[in-house]
Amino acid sequence: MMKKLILIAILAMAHLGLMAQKYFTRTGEISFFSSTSVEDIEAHNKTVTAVFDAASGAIQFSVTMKAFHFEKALMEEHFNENYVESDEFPKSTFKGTIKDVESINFKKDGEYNSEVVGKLTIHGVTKEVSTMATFTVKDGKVMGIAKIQVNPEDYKIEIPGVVREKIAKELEVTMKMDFVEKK
Amino acid sequence: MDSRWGSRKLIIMIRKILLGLCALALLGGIVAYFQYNKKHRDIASEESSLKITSVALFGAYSTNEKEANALYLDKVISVTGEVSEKTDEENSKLLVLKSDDDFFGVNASMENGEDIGNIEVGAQVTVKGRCTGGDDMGVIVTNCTLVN
Repeated sequence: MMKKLILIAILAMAHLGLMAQKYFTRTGEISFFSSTSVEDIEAHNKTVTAVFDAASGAIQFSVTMKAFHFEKALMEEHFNENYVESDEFPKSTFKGTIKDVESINFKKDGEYNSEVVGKLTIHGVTKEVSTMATFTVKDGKVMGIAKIQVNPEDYKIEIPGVVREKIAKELEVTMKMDFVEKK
Repeated sequence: MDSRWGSRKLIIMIRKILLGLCALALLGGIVAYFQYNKKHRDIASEESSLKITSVALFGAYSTNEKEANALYLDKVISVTGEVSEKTDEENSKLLVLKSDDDFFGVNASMENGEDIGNIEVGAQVTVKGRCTGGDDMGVIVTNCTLVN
């Protein structure tokens, strides 16, 4: 009898593991900001697709570069044509893990912090990155926020000398995603 | 006598050159000003370069992203499909058009001013927008407006 109970318990737990929720968004937001003495540069992309697995902590997102919106059309043009060369590299991606996903209780409202590590690919160049992220659970939804400093040179993004002065050495990139359960 | 007439002509010539340079500089300034303040593309006013179904568009991107980009990247296209999901908020209007995948599809990000209040999930719609790329997690079409 005991053996049967244990077996059932194990199977039930395994089943729960398999049933663990995936969360997603199709309207994730990535923004970046650069401030110099000359000018402020700001862009937003609100069409990021992101998915994470609440059990394994696996997380990934995809962002199309041409969907970054700048207030100045000329800046947007330079960004696409000269810097990130979006015709050649239309998409940037991230594939990684929410390290402390086990400490996040998706059934209990609250704020949880975790390091997120993984591979970030921009302009065809992949780099290992890591950052702290905050996951806010509320009514079954999860809002994930993270900031990361990105150095364009790390991704072979060439900014001509004249313009280089206008752009800060590192850009602050902010990610804000409102995840919902994937049914 | 001669040198006086000569220097007069020289002064007139210099004045003309300076005037010419000023005009050039002014022109340059005007061009730069208009370039700096140039407007964003008005996708709603552009003609779509092709019509496609959401099933075909997503299929193209999930099969071969590079080939799909060669065909659709940065083009203004008309996409027809069944609405599988709708987000209708002040700063976020999205219609997901169905594909053969039971979850991912074509993400039609609508212009903020576009009214999608009457669009129901399950309805057939056609949207016109700019394709910014995609993969097997979704094809992104931005600045979308509803078309008939």
